[in-house]
Amino acid sequence: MSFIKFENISKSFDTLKVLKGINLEVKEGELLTLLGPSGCGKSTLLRCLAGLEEVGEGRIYLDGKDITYVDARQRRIGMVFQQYSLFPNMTVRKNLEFGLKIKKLPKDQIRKEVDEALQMVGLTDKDNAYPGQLSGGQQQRVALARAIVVKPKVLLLDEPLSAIDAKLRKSLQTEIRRIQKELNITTIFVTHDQDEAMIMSDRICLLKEGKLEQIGTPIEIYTEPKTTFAAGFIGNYNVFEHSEFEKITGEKNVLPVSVAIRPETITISKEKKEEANAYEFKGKVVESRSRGNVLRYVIDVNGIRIEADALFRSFSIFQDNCDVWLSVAKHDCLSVEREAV
Amino acid sequence: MKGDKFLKGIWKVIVAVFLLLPLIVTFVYSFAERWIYILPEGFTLNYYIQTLTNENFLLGIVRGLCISIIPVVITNVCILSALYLVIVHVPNLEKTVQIFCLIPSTVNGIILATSVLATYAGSGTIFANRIVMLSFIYCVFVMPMTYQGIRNSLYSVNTLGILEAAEMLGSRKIRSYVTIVIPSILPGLLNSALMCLSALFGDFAIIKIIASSQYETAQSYLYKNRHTDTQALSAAVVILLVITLIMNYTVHRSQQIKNEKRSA
Repeated sequence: MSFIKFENISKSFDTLKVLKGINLEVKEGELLTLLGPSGCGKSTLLRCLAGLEEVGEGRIYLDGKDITYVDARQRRIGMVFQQYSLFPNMTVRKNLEFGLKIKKLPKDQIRKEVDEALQMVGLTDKDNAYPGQLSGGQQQRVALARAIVVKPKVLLLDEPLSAIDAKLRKSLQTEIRRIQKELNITTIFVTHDQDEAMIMSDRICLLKEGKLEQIGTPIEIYTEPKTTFAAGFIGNYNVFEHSEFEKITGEKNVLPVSVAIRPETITISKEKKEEANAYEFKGKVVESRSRGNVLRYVIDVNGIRIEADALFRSFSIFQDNCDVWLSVAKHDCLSVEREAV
Repeated sequence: MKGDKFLKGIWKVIVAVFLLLPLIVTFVYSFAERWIYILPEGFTLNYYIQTLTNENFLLGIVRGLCISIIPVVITNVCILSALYLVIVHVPNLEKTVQIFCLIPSTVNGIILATSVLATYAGSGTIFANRIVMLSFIYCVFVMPMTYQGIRNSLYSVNTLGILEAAEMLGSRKIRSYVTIVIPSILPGLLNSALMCLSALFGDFAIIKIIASSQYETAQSYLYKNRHTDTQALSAAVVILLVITLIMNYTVHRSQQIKNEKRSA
């Protein structure tokens, strides 16, 4: 049974329609990521659930109750903001105590809850520091602790890691996931970073121009994109019109729709491999880029450019302008819908 | 390179001397027993004792502080309330509020005072009262500076983000504004208030037009007695300067300690 349910949600800002009939269900205890490019409506959807934006049309249900018009203060939803939004005039401890004091909990209980939350985010030694004395990562952990200390039903994370450097971001991704699992708290995470979404989520909801494009587990979304947009956004797929694909393979009517191929499913070699159930075609290396342990090649095949990945090993290094054979299994050529332009 | 530095140093000294000379001379003059020739003939504290025991002058200081502090407080409260409404409820009105608050900066203080006097002097309303009139003129006079100071401070602390974060924790926006946002912008708030206070405390032109006979401040006392004992007046000027400096230092120091605590 769904814990959160968005029913036909629409929302406009003046004449701009940012959400167009979103239907979405979130299960209890799961971490769902709203993923999409800037301006696709993911933050607006999150803010509608938080009660910080009014819904234009539709209904929102939380734990079976209609909360569409419930005041944000009454929803029991915790939120972590992109800019942390810590209270600068209060110490870390006072920031955490704020929500508990509003709930009028006894002093002893407040102290206990705050100590536990600080321990959970590893900031017990910083309880008397002011936000201005903390690093970005520490501030974000305080924001997380402040949101969870009040024991909300749902935790909302609005691009919480976007202002943090890459290394720290990775450790915080793991930390947020650990805390979410430890508390078994239903969480909605907003990001535009597909790698972050893949690492953190139980399910990913891909949004495009205010509409739900595709929803599924990270593996489903990655391996079975339904549209060319999903294929392009999630996995750096090569997406070809069927006419282009015919030109590449040299075969007629191979697939009558658009085709998406992941770069890592394409094998590059000097010689033709003569594999069964695979398309093989000859091309010329145009460019190669190192991506750490992987080399990404741009290869020209009959005037069409294809990106292919190879592990960084001596026998997989090909020079520019070198002729190569590409091979891709037929089952790795996915049929996808091309969205209307 | 070295020559450039030297020239710059010389310029700095000349400018500093030029700016500080009147102050230094006033200071020395206020202690001089008699100063007829090139150097004073001796030093005395008599003029300070005389000024500090002058009831009119002391009352003038108190009146001056009152007529400066009250408009600054009223203006701050009004602008804080207006900006709360703008940020939280009607962001579309921001430009309008900005224009209204900045208009007074384009009007000369004397013109403002005479216009208000001409409009309300015989109206028979509460605004015809000269003290009330003076207070409101001062409110309008300090509005642009106060608005700019408060607005910048509010945007620098991400006010809306803070209010929303507090709302998610169960707090009403107005309560969060008073208990979180205003204390967070207090250093900026006090700085702009101090600047306004200094400007009003030093005013004698507007007060002379509006209420010089009814409400004598220290500045109008100085103006009225400018042809009497000039050494005693110099002592009064130094005393007023010291009061302003003490006020500035006290506020800056208290804010500095708070800031150091928050960002050490």
